[in-house]
Amino acid sequence: MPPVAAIDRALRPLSLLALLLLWQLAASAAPAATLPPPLAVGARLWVYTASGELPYHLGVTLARVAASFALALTLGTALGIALGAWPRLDRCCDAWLVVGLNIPALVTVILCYLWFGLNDVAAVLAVALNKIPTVVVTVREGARAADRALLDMARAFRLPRLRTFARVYLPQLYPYVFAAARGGLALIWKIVLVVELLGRSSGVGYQLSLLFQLFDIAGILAYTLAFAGVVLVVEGALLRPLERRLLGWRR
Amino acid sequence: MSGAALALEVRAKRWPGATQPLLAGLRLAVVPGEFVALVGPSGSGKSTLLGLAAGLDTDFDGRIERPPGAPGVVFQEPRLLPWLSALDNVRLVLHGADDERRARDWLAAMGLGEALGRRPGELSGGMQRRVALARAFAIAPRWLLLDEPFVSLDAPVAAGLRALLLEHWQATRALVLLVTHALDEALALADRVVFLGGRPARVLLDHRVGLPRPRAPAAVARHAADLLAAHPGLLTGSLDHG
Repeated sequence: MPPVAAIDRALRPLSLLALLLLWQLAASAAPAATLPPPLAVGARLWVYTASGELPYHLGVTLARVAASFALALTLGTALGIALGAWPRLDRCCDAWLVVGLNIPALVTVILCYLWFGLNDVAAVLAVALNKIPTVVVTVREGARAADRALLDMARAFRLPRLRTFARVYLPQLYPYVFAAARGGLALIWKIVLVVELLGRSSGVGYQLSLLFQLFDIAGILAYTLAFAGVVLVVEGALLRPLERRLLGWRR
Repeated sequence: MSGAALALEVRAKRWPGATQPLLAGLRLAVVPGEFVALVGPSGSGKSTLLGLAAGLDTDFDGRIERPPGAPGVVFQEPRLLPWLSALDNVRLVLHGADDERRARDWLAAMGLGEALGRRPGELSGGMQRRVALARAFAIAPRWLLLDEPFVSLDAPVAAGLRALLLEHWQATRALVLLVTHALDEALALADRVVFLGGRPARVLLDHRVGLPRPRAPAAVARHAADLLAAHPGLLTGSLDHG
């Protein structure tokens, strides 16, 4: 491995280490109840993990994230393709999209709970509804930019419609779907916790609300740390390799 | 015309909003095994006519009879999918179990046996055109539509590709309709050269090239000079880059 690549590879862990160090420094300056040091939080993390409480709630939250993410990305991509392909439909739906993009997440969440009850279907639906408009807008951009010359080539060679769609059209959208997926995941992580805080009795959001009532900062940070770890793993072990595989040709 | 011929009859083709048609009263037939070149100044509707023949444009008044099966098409730009390797670009248009072998064989025939795994971005312009030619030949088409396939290439590269085209056309005896603005190219390759011109564009001259094959460049140049001497207005405004 060339030295520059080695440095590049080490940058990410090093910057995380620097963050930890900064935290330790700040903790030694503040009272222990306000900002517990990393080691205290780590100990708490261990206790929660050993009791099985943290894995359970983290698992529930992850399942909700996965369901909302899948729902938002599938529906949003399908809608984005449709709007990009049919300008008339696009003009019809444009105002809805603007409204959808600007409605505060809290409103959707509360309404979903009121309409569908305090259950997981309402929770997942609320999160997905918050995300769908941004997926639609991003994918629509890609659908509008689709290369007509390549589609004409497929038509001239009389490729079957399904093959044209899957092999010629869809790959042109991948960069946009990926942009939507990354931004989407970031948004969904955040909204899922709010949804759990407001109307579920499980998940990281629910646990955080309990710890909030107890003013337990170490507990809150322990859950945050676990959550951040999962986010980094999903991003680094799932999203990035997939992106490299599908979009590697652009480099 | 027999069922395997390409017969174009364009009563009128106009762009939306245009008062004057681009093409009008145009008839052109290409019989099986024949190589016809379509020559005319830019803007004379050559590529539009090829689009009509390919079935990409159906908004016109007239009738087109096509040979059976899909045409092998080569566009002005290679139009390869940038995310697929050369091999997969050719396989994309193939059907059947032995598609990989056929794609390999055609790419090898085009001298690309070493570049099968490379994506278009990693190939030179000339190599990309060769992949596009391989793609057109690989479907074993009864008819080929070529839209200035060698434009903007270095002269030696273009000459090499022309030789490849002739070689495989003679082996497969497919019907060819080639659009070009270069008279020399048309006379070097085609059995018949059809000149388009005027507004709206129509057939100015349907010229059978009597030269025996293989054709030496000098003989082609002499033939071109004779033709232009006999029909001075034939290429008005189109011989800028001869």
